[in-house]
Amino acid sequence: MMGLNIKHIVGFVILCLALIALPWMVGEFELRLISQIACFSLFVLSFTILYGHAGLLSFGQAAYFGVGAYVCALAFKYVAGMPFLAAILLGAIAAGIAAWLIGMFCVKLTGAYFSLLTVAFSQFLFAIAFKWRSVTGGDDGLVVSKNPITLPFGGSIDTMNTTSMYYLILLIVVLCYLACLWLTKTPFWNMVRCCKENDERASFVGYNTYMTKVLAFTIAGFFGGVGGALFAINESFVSTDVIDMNRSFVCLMMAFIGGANSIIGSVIGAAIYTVLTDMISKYTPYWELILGCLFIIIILFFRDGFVSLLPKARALMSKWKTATGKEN
Amino acid sequence: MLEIKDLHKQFGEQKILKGINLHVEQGERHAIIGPNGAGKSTLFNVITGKYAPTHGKVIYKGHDISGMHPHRITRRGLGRSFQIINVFGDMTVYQNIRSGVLARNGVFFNFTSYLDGMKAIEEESRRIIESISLSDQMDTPASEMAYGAQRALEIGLSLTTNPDLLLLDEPGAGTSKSETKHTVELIRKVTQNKTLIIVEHDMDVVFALADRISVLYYGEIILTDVPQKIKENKKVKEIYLGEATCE
Repeated sequence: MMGLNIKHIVGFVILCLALIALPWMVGEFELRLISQIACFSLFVLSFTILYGHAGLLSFGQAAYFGVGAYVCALAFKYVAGMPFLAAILLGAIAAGIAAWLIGMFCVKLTGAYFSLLTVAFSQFLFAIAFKWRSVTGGDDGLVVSKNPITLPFGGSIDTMNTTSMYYLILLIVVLCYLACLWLTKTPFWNMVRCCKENDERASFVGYNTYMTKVLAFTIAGFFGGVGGALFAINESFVSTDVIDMNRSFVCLMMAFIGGANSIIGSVIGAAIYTVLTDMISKYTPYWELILGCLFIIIILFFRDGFVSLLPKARALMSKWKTATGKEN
Repeated sequence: MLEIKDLHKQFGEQKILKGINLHVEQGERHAIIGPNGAGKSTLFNVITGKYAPTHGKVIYKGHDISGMHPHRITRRGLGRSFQIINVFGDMTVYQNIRSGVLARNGVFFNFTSYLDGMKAIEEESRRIIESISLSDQMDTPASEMAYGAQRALEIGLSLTTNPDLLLLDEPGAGTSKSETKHTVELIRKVTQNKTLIIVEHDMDVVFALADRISVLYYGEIILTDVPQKIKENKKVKEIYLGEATCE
């Protein structure tokens, strides 16, 4: 089923166990950083779905990350006793709706015009967040006042606790990735792939290419919204940073660093970018320059990102194993 | 089956189709011939919805399909192939054909089924691949196949939607004599009990396949008749066929 073998399942279980054990192995700061990586992974996933799978290069994915973050923060602010998970879902649904509405216009266009329109809509949403101070707090931002999670059989989870938040974010992110991986195995995703490969031919075998792309855009927006809502919760603060152009380009950089065609690449890209930013910025204020150079190297020499190095590393490993085996 | 009434197509000031009238009966094999620039491919593109007509109607099975989106026309049972190979290049032969079979079976916005586990779709896809003699290249990416095989896949992809009316745009374009013979045999085999409209430059293909032929000349159909009469027509000889071809 789904091309899974025992190796995959064992690998997945070991990875899950390692992630569960992580709070015992790292400090609070690192744990918060890992939670941030998990949030960014979904953000990058929203780009990867569009670019890598549907062939749509969006320069405005921060719009949906931002809508998810703001709607989640506003839900906590304006709705008394807002259930924790409902706030996340609300943020994701709002981002999905925004993506649906914007996608209906954008996917009518192709190539550079599509990309530019995604920027225009993203800037439009940024302007709302920036100017509507009474609601969004403008560039001063909003504090996210999270409610504790009440458990059905009594007791509650402290949402201010970094470890609890790490587990919650991890659970939601893993579920989103599993849902996305499943999605890529469905007939719907075959339509998405056909649209990327040959839009005209897809129409002439009977596919409604317009609706297919609108839906792919919406799904990407939804995942981006989940990432944004989780980010707002993790940071306990939202400002226009989450929805500006810089955020969209950071997402693009993360995607290409990891591998813009790969779902797993989105995690790798988010992790490398976030960790490098944290590490380099400790030593130099010119950290963006160094990351810029890394990005140039990747675009020039490793267009499929770090994920493309994995099979090469695996081949080298097996070569090395064979060589050492012969020696013995 | 297909009725075209006073069909016009204009791009800016340029009139490409100037009042086409055509009637194609069910089960007929109809060829459209004409010199380069006569408007043959434009006519195909208007019939199949790629371009909306400037004026006039395309009636298919009694329904006006003029200006309809290609996917809606395809779903009504009208399939087409392209002059320049137009397949899903990075997909394998199997994935190409399966994509069409999924569409034919109305499997569109399905988020719950596991694609590789759909046995009925798989069986149907394999049957079509066998009919176009590409079983041995099932897992080869389309873009890596020989030209003739890509041509066969192009026709196979048009067949996946199980069309009642099939429009083939120069199926023999770019193929060698032996490949053309194979293409004619393939078309004959796969279009049994179907209505066929074919645009072709190669007269051997046209006369081997067509029941009737229409001659398109600068956006107008100047003659529709059986192959023998077309061969003997003086005007056709002058504008298209040339004496040598007809003798």
